[in-house]
Amino acid sequence: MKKISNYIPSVILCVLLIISLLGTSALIVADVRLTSEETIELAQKEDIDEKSYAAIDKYYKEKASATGIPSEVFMGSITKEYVRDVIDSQIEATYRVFESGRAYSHASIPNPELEASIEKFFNDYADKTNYPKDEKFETKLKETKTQAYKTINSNCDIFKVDSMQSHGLLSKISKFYRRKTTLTVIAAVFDALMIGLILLVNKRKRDVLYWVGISAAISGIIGLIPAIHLVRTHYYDSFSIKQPQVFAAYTKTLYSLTDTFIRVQALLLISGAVLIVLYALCCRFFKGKTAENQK
Amino acid sequence: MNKKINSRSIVLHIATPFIVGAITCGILLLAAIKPVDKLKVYLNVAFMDDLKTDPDDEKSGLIIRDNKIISDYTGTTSDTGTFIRPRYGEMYAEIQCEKFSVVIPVYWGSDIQLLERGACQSTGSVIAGDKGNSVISAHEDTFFADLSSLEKGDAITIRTNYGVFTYKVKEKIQFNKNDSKYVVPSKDTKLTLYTCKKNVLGSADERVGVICELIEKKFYNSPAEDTAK
Repeated sequence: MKKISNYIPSVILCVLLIISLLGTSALIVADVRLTSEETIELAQKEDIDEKSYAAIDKYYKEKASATGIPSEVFMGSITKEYVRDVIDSQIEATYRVFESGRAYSHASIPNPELEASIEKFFNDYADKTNYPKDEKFETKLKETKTQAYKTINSNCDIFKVDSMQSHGLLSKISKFYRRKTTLTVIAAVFDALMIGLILLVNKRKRDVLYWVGISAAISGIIGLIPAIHLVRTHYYDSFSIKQPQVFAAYTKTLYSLTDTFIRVQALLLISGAVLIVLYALCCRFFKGKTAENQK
Repeated sequence: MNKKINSRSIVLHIATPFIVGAITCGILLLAAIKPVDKLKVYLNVAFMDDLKTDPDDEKSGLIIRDNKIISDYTGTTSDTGTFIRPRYGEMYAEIQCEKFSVVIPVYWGSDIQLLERGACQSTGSVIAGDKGNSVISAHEDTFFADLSSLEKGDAITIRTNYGVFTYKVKEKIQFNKNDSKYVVPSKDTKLTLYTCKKNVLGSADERVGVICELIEKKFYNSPAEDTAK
């Protein structure tokens, strides 16, 4: 290690390995945690369906005086389970878009009870007030049903995927998402290549423990500092969209990803420390052996 | 000699992580300059709430301020004065008219919660008594239930804590909710009151209202101004 011909190339390879380990850990976190199953599990764990349900309920209560339709006509048939199903199907549709790169489209989950409730209210009202059940009446009925599904879908679109699509963000995310596993594999192979080169450059093979150890430890520290800062300062709580279900979906996902990244970086740091300790022990062992041989 | 070599080796082993760390941080900072610059704009927009309010917190959200509006001012008045600009969610005026069965509070800002409490004034319009178009709306089944009974020549009084302003109905209007010609800013001073046209079932697309011209301004003089006079 003391020779310049070993030292400088090892430093360069070490720097490259640190950067590569940072990238690999970020990609592993994205690969493992950014899936529809993980997102659905997180949404259920954080009771985001309750927030969406409350938002839909509030919407219909506030609209009642403007539309003349009591909120019970809608809310009597919109259950929390239905809302959860809509959220889950939207999340699955979003990840399908990420995987395929196609435009986002989400078909409403039919709710026959809701449609029947709206129809019953319209028919009862028309019968009570002798309102003619003409083409205009049928159009209004159809519009109300369509609007009901739109309202539910909009309040269950917890990641505002429609907005992301209209702003062109969905295609950019999709480009990365489709390649994330490939990128993770490439990054891991690059890590292995760097370790192999460190092995080649260093004649004393136990020095590899030292170089890989400090690479892992420094990579862990560099990753940990900003991640812990984000969590401690509650940075994600300054998220601009304050709709409860959207706010919860985004902030909980970001905190969860950051938390996983922190764990991976902590593991890297500990692994690095262990390798350095092993190197120290190896050095003492070989030093002891050399002293014995000299005797 | 061996001791010297050993201590040099130990120093090198300790210093190397710091050297490597410094080089890596330097490279990462340099490489991150351009991407961070680009990302900053999006991050500033996405995370702009410096107060970090939790939407589930009862204390977050619209702050509604109810004020007592002066109705028994006996001091001197003048046709020029100082406006007291309201904050969003603040009740700053009351509408009175013979044809209205109630005195209608006017809130600054348009919000579903405010529409439950009174009439709402568009923040894009001017406050009562000021030059330009003052645009006020309310629900047709609550506060503006009597709006359609207004006729040309009817007087409408708007009381504020900086003065009282009298308007006269000039014309009755009807427009589609997507048509903004009656609610945009204007050079002439007027008051536009509107509500949804009564509709059977569903949201109304049509709006009905009145345009009123300002006929009298009475700004309340402050006690200091009265003393000076």
